[in-house]
Amino acid sequence: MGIVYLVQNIVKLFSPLNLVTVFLACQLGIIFGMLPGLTATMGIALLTTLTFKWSTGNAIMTLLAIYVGAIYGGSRSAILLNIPGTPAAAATCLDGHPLAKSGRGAEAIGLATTSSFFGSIIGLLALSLFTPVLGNIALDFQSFEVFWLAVFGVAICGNLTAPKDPIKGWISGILGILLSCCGMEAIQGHPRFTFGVLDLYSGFSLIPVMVGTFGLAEILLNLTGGQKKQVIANIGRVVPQLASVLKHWFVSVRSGIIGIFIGLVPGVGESIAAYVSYDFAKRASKHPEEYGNGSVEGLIAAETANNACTGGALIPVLSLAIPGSAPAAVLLAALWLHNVRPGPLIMIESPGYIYEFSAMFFYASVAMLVLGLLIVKPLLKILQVKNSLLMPIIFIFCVVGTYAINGRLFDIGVMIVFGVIGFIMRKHGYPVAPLVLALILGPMVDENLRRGLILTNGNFLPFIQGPISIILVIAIFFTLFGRTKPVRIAVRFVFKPVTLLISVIKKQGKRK
Amino acid sequence: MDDNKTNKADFVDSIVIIAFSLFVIYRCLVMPRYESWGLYATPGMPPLVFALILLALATIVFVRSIIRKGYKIQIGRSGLSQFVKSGDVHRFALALGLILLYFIFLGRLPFVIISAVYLFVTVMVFKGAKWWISAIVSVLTAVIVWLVFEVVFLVLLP
Repeated sequence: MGIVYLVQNIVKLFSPLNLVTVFLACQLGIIFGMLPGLTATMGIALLTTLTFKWSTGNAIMTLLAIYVGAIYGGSRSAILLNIPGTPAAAATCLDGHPLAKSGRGAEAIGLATTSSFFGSIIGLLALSLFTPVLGNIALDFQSFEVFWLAVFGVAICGNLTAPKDPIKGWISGILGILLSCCGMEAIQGHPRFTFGVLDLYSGFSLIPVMVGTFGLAEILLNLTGGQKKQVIANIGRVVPQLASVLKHWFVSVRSGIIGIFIGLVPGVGESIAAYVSYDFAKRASKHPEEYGNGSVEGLIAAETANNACTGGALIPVLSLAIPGSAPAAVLLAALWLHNVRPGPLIMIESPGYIYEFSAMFFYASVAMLVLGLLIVKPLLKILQVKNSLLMPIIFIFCVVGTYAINGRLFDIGVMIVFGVIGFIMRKHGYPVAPLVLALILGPMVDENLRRGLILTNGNFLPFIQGPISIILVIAIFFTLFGRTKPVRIAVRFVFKPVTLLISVIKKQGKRK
Repeated sequence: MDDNKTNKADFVDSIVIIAFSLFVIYRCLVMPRYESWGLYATPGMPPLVFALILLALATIVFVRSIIRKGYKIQIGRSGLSQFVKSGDVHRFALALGLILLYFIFLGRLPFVIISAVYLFVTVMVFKGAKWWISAIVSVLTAVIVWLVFEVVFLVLLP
């Protein structure tokens, strides 16, 4: 039935104005994605502010097209420059650039485009089929479950965005929760950590913090470091042969499914989806030695997964109001700004919106495919623009976008302060995504913890009694302590009978 | 950043984070408690819990950096002058200084003028283009931004 609703909404949204909007926005997204230093998150954050006064439908469609376009666009610079335009395209560099260097740049761009489209369509199907299911489960959530869910989101985001040193990821997340506590709190109305500054009574707005940590920090990094670009400018026919696309269908399907599942996990994002999928493809490949030297399979695996992840990341946005990736977090903020209320109640308040949203995602994916295959050469000129010319212009957009929401110079100050904080954090190995995610989830943690305790007269036991709470607590425990030796030994001990049984069955199979 | 530099940075960072978490803990303890609601519902309770966790995590980073000899920071004259002479530090100071100047003048001078000046100076300082190209780009960008956002989209500009 979900597919029928999806098709109905695709037909409903078909209009010249919507098509023009989605194609223009997607092209802008591709440009954002392919320019090193401009990320999908930054693109959505900027356009959220700039489309503030638009009608909800047009604004959300624009932002979705920017998101899909930017995640795909990163592959252009990854293939032609060996610099990922967005973090999502980092895995694309591994095989995309060697292919381009060997004179197969056009083929690489064509395959990256079709793979991205295929990934987006898999993500779209998951978005329209799984969101209502997850949304219905989420209706059973009470304060206790929401509290654990938010804590889990921050913990796993910290874990996965700082895989070498998870403590730094958790520190970043907790800093975000503490920052979210600034301002008038919701239960007693007490102003916390405001120090008499009236502008702080409403707390730190999400947009200035986000534009600062993602946008300005990136501008400062680019102006401080300064990268030299060498673009491979000679490319031929981009549209790939159908046979070469179909040849790797299994890699595409597997990578799409991996992308969706990684997208579902709060805060992890497209870059990790691409790497995990690339790793799976390499392990399963008959020619693993080609990976890193121009493997078509590797390129397809990375590009399919990062675009499938966009659909997956939007599922928890709509059903739980918890973003699956950093750009999805910004999109969540944009939905709120445009009076759409994602979360468990969406299935009661506006159950049809999920399909309308999915239909917008469909148009964005189609626009990405068409633009990706047809408009290639003119965009190569943009890639040759120096960062030192581009970054100051982007800063002006950051300022306009930040100011447009509330019309306060204070917000621009907040953006600059968080830009510097983000710059230092990145230089010192602290990921900024958990900080921004925690700024969104912080009020959920705070209010649901206290509301739950008020309901139970201070008894913490109900927090660990329900089945969903128990599952979430176990998930948090393994996220935080899963890598430690005692836990690994305990898990091995618990599963020892199972592994013994498997080895006995294997031995008997060999004897026969 | 190599391991040695990371350990030194971790040492300094952890001290800053420990100081910050202690400050938050103090602020939570002196916050009004609204005891009629129950102590568990006081506004300072959630930040207190998370500040304590932050303190514990920062202490782990601190101890780890000491074990890895991250405390061996030489703040001598040569080290300082090396830091001050570093090209990266110069570029960062310049970029941030120009941004701060732009922020100070925002709202005091017309948006188009201050934005065009900021763009021109920044592009020239960072050698983004020849002077006449940067002049054209700066003026055009400022005017187009003003036209599109303030005139067409009716968005408020500083």
